[in-house]
Amino acid sequence: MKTDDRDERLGAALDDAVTDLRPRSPDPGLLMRQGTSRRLAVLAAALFTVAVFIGAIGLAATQFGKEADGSIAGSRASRTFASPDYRWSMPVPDGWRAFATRSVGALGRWSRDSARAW
Amino acid sequence: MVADREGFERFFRARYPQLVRACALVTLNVAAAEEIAAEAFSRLWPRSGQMHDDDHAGGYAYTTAMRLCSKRRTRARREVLGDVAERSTGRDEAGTALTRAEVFAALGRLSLRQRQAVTLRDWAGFETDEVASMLGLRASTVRVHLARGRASLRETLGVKEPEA
Repeated sequence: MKTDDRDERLGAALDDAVTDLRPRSPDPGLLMRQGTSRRLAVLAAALFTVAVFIGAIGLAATQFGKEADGSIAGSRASRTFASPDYRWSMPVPDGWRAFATRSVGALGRWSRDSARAW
Repeated sequence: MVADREGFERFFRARYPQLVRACALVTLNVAAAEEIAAEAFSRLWPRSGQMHDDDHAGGYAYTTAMRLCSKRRTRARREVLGDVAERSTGRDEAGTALTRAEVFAALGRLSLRQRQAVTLRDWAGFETDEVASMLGLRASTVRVHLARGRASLRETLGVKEPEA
């Protein structure tokens, strides 16, 4: 016989083992309620997962935006260092530290603070 | 149709015992088979609106049940010995008890996939392609499982191969 053909004898032998089986039959109404509840739970879990994923992406984007705001291009300088002698000024974002490597240089002198300016 | 409550209950009463028997042949445990079949039907109900007809719904129930059998295989394997031993002590009706014990013992020598393939093809009568779809395998893989499973069962149970 071909493998694709059904083996009736073997099928009958298997049937002998279970033909007298009388399973306990649960209430179909209960099964329907369980099925509906499980489906709702799966949907809720899927929605929760999507919400967490979107929230994580949103949070990451917000954090990235904050960091971008701290860059030179996106910053609003709150401090300005200027040289009264040579008429130059340099805006510095808030929170940045400016260090004078030399107190007197070719371009002039820090107008405020000395060695270390905030 | 199984989409409405009445249709589903009718479908359940007609098909539940058969699905339990199929699961029993795969898990070799009647109690586990009852649980799996019940869960398969409970999973069918929320999707009953998508079923074209009873055969489609039956195929879905079998597919779900076979997946559940695969999940429970480790647990079922531990329980099978106790189940077969209980039947062998004569607690069931004489005659059929020994047959079931013998058949279950022979099936116990097969892998889960072989049991599923033989049960779905030779006992339930699904086509090889349908069996492959239910088990998530290729038809050629199912044929290999069928050939090996049948050879082992024939040898153990003394069933002769049908004439070509």
